[in-house]
Amino acid sequence: MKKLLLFSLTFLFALSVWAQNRVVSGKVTDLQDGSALPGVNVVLKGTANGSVTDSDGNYSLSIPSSGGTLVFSFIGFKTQEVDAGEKTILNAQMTTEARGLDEVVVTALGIERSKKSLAYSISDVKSEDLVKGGAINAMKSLDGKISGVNLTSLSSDPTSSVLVNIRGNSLLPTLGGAANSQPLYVINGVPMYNSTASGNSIAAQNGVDFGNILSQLNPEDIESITVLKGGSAGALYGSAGGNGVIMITTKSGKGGKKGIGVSASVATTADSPYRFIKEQNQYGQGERADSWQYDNTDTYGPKLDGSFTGDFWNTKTQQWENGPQRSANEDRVKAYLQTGTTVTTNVNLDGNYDKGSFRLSVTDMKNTGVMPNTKTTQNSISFNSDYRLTDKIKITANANYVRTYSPNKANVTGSNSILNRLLFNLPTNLQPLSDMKNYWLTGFDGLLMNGAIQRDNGIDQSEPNPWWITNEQLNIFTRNNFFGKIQMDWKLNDNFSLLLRSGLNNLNENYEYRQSFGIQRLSNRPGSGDGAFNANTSNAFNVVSDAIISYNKTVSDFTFAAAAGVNYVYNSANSFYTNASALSTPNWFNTANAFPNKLTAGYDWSVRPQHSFYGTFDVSWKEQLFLGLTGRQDYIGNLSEEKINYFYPSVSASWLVNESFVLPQQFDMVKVRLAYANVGNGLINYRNIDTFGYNIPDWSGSVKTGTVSSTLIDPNIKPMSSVTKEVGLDMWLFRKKIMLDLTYFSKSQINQTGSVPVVPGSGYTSMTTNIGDVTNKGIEIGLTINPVKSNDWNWSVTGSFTHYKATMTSLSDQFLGSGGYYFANYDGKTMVKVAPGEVIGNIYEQNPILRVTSGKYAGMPLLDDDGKFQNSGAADRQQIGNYNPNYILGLNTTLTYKRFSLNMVGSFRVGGKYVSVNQQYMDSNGRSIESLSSGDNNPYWKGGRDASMGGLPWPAVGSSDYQEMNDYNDPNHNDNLNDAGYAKGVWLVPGSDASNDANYVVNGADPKNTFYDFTYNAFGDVIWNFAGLRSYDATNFKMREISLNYNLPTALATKMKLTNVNLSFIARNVFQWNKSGRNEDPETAFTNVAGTGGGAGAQGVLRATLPSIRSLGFKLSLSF
Amino acid sequence: MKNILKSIFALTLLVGVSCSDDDLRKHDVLAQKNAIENQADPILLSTIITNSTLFYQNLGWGDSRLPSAAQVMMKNYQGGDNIYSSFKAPSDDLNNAMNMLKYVQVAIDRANERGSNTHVGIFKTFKVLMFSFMTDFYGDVYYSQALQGREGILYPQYDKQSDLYVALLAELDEAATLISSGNESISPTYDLMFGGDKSQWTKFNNSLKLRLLVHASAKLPNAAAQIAATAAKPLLSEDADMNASIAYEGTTSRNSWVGGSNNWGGTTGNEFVRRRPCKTLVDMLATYSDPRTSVWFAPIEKPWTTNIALDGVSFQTNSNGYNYTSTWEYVDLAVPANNSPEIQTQIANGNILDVDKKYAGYEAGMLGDFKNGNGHYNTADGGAYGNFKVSPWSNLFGQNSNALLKAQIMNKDEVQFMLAEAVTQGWIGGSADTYYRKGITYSLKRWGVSDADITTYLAQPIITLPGNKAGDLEKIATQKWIGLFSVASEAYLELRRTNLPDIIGNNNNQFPIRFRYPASELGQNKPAYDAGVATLLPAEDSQYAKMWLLQ
Repeated sequence: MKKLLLFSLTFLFALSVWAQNRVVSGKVTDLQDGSALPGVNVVLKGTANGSVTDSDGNYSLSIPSSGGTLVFSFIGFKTQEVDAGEKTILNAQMTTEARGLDEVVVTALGIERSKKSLAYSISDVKSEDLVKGGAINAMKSLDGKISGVNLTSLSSDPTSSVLVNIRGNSLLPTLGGAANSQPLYVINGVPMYNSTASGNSIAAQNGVDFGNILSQLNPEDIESITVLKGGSAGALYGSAGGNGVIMITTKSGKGGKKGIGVSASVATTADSPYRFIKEQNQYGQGERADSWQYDNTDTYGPKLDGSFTGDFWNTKTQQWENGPQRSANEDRVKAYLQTGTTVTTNVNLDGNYDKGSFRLSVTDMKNTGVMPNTKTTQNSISFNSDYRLTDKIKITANANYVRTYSPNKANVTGSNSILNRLLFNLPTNLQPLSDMKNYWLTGFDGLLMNGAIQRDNGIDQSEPNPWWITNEQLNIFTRNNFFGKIQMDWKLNDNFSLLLRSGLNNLNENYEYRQSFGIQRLSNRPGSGDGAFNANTSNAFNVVSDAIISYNKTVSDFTFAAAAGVNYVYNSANSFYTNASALSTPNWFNTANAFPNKLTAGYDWSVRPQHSFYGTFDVSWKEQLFLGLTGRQDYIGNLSEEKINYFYPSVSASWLVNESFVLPQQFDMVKVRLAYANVGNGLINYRNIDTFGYNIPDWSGSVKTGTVSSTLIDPNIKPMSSVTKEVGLDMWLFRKKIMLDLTYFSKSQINQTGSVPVVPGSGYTSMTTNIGDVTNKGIEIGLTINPVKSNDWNWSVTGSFTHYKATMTSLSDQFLGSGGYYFANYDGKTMVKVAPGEVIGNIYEQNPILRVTSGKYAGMPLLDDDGKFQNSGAADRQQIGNYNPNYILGLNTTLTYKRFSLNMVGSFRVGGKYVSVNQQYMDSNGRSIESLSSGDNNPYWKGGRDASMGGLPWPAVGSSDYQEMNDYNDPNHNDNLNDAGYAKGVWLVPGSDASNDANYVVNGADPKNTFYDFTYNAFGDVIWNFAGLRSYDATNFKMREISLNYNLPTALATKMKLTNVNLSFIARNVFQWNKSGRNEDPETAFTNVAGTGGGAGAQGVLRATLPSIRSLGFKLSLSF
Repeated sequence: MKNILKSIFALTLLVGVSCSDDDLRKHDVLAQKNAIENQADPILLSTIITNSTLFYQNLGWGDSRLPSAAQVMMKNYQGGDNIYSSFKAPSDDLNNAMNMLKYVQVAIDRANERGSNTHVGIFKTFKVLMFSFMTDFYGDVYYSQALQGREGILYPQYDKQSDLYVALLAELDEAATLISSGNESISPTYDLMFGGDKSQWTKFNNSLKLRLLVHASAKLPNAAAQIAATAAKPLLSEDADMNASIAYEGTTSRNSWVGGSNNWGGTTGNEFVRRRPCKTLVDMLATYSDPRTSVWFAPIEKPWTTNIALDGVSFQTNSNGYNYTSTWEYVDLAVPANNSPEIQTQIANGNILDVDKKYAGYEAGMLGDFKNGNGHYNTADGGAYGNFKVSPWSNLFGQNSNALLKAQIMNKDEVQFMLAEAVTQGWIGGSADTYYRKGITYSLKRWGVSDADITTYLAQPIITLPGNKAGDLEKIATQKWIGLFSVASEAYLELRRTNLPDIIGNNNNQFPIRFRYPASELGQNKPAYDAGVATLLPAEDSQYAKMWLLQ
């Protein structure tokens, strides 16, 4: 790094001793309003000699004594060339680019097209908007900035993965949902197929999210991100583009001033968690307030005011003690988490010459997590260059290398996460976390854990010490990714040009899991070992090559553009794992140390080719009517028996109304557009034959046992297709002070293919077939307003609105069977319903409460012979809600005053529901505030933990008129303890006529004729089974970014031998407002990291995720 | 310049379009695809043997539902198995059986292709075993239309249980013919059950047929004749250790006994400690002074004594190679007020049932709560999962493998008890007493009881059959019930059929007589489900509805 700086400085000095003959100076103003234009590039044509205007629009530049041409350039304005002659004063007036319509955007396959001719909705975000907020993850910095796109972070951790859903998820819920409808990413024209061995764009192991492959892209290196939303935009990518396409163009040296430029930036943020879930800290371990119980972690036990004594293992002194137990009085999660830091350093060097340009960028990111003992470092090198061999031939090369390394990253989702244990399993009567830091028993380092919760027989712990998990269960991850391309553009003649491009992506991931001794009881170790060691390696390699010939011709009022191409994709992947689920000796993490019979290994490989032909044809008439056609034919499958091909067409049209009619002056542009596309999801021809596998491990050293794969393939299966229709309107008003784009779309995913459960009697557990169709309709609106624009002030507001609703339109009879609907498991206590007319995202309760259906007590819960709520079965399942927001509002505003600019990004998600598994566990484990007492108006139960919390007295033994009540109450009866409570409902006297109201007993109406229970049962049981009782509104507002930016005056910068100095203060996730009032982030409601299994990426169910994380920091950018 | 261009052009094309069949590994891909479509006979055999024995052993011990219903095992910690709560919910065991049957079906197809008749016959025997499990526990189930998804039958109709029984018996005969007609050898290593001995497979086939005939003896018109014919064929008997069971390897969770450290964490594992012998079983063994007591049960950790002199006195028990320490605790049952308040509460609640005993069981039909078992109260002292007043299972059941622990489908003592009943019922001739005593002897031997102890045991007057039909049947059934210990699925079915021994009162909890169909049948196979439910009495999918066998 030092050498690079030295090298750059040498260049700088070389430039400063340029031969000088005269100084030309002047002022650059806006032709429209005469205001001064700061930041305009002024360059002597054909040289690297240049300057930039200061805040008053003034510049000065040394140039040869006579001749020469000055080139004035500025974003959004037409580049102007002025002959310098002999002048020493040279003022320039610049005009805005003709309504910005000549702006060129990159579309599918890297074909550049003028924005005005596009007939479909795209969104593009430029580099300056990506880097403002200082996010380390390019995908995270997109949030709130584009319409029609729903970005959700898997966790608040700054290095976590981001799920991107363009125009919503149209997949049936049994097909894996959001995680399986990720868009195609294309970097510099080369598609990055999700070819990791794990088959997913998110690398997850052991519930640990190591970040998307795309999340490693450094925002500093990105020139622009273009989102192709609809099928028409992405139709040229065939099936891979069915979920939309995100096109990323990295920065090149092109367009800068001539010669060498060096710039560097350093950004650092402190990441601190806030908004912790509130838990009760008053009652300790046990089931009733009069006695301790150490066998489980429920905290329905005695009050921790010092009045109850008990035996406890003192983790600090490491001995059994007896005495009054008190509350640790700490929020465990808060006490556990720390402030993380992220430091990103970037240096880049660019060069721009007549024949070509280059850019070399080196970035180093270091993140220390908010979770103790977690870290991520990332180093990347990116090189971009282009060179003109001749006037007609340009060669472009791009190479990137990214290395990500985490010495440890923690599981943040699901039941194995440390957060889960801190929230639900560490009773508050145990000592503060700071007293548990010595997690080994003294003298037994690496062997015996100093457990947080001890069993009675001494050293065997039943709940691992949190610090042991932190330091002795390590998830080590390394990713090496090389990707790049080489491209040749050859202008054959005025009409024909040829593009040849070949890109490759080589991805290597390595994962290790190390678990020290300490989980197994000492007595079991001789038989089953302890500790664990896993090592996984996966490699993926793909090459994508295109040859495209294009033709352009203008004949009178018509302009034709046509292109035809051929594409070849080669994917190969392999993965290898070894898993020692127990080790023989401690502290040696090696497969050779595997405990006998505890070592398994596996290797898998795949090869996948694909050929395609495609063509586009565009015609425009008088620059006002545009028509575009595309077609693509994919040939997929490797073996001849698998081979199959598909054709995907698209058509789009747009009309620039303002070119056809003379509109009032206020209208800069009015465009109407229409598009249609039909893309599909390739399905190779499968064999419909049973296949065998083998049990691992074997039955014994000499006997193997087998398995059979019992999946049936529907012989009449059809490929899935995705039909998109969209209609839109773009309108620019008042000299671009208002810019509006509006799109209405409909996307039908027809013949969705999936595995459906079949009646086991058929001999098969599932069948691959066409399950059904989903139609997704929505509206997206983008609005940019520039209300203030003056010499000193500039204010712009951009808003985006996204709404969509996907409905199941038809479903296969084979899937539904005779019932007309099907419930699929979701998270264990919730289900999704698959039925025609059902909206995607709806979640249903698994267990509805059985209620009285008729008579006086209709609607009241019908209690069983233990006085408990009963499950009434599938037929009564009620919808809990839909996890998708009704709409998303993104707000992005920039206020500029002279050299200061303030930028704010917020997002408002309105509507939607989520189920809190946190609440389920907190209630059942006695950690929630709600578990203390029923309160006055609780509709489900009445009671409390003891008399002080509203607990009721127990009735005298045998006092009830009903034997069932005595049977239930008497064993629990306790004269000394007012800890009775009851479920609100009615009980039908056994054997009596259910239609007669007189046969019902209202629980609680007569104290003696009431089924009582203590809170542990009366409340904990209710909440555990009935998910409908813990769903919450997901409406929230997030202030995602606030940044304040100061640009040092040019004069001052020049004195420091610098061309530009920029200092920003950055704040991300500054605050969050939840309508529910809960300290949970509804956005992180995922049951697990998108990985494997049916619940992969199941949304709307929130469990033990990190609290919100606020990042504050600064960024300094310098350029030479 | 031209050369540069040409080379770039060539390079691009080279990378792009030149993937040969070698790069695509076509030959390899095809070979792999073909390879996984077949599996050798020995592996098919070892798989079917392990799958089905483990399935049966799970029903017999791992899943506490049937052991509890058979009053062999109770839970002293949560859950409703002691009061049959788990019968309330639909049971997915039908689906588990079908998963195994799928494998059996493809094994039959592969072995048929190779002409391995003996293997086909063995596999068909297991096919009948699994279908008989399904119909015995559910009633009408699919059979003739089952396993034909590939042929387009996605929603198979159920066969009537009465038809099913006839068809299963016929398929068993067909299997027996195939076993004897095949001339290929059976791998002694992979035949984990009978070591490659074809004659044993024939015996297992016949014994299974006898079991099914006994199950349906009250319903089949020609049951007696069929039983007589089958009893005349070779059955599992005589040969030393030839039972339809396999030994555990004890190295992985799958090949280990469920109570061992590879599954439940051994004798200190929570799941192990939560399960206790049922008082019904412990008391029955005590009545017979049964030597299996010390093999199966561990002594109570802190047994009650009414002798104050023994209070706090410890004693050692060494049984079967395992050592246990127990300490007497004094209780004054005559004057409750002399005890501590906690013990007084236990006396008042009527919880203290077994005093001055070394072994005691957990009372059947009590809620799963350690505080309910024989007056256990001192939880703070560490009896949280555990219970100091009720016997734990012996350490034997906490092993990963042991010569006495087998994954069992059927033992030869069961065959003897069936024959003893057949004589008593008049279906066959011979001496019921001889079969009865053989059955007892085989069972005792199976649990490692010495010949001398067996002789002593059989010499007890209480063993002698009373000589009247009802009395003989009860004695035979009682010994059969003890003999079916850890084969709880059969113990449950026999208890359901005979109501003998007369133990199913179970604290006024109604005895469930079938499994409810899996919820997926209601959801996806409703016409078949409805037809199946219609033949039950009453016609509802309830655990109390009677299937044809019980009507």
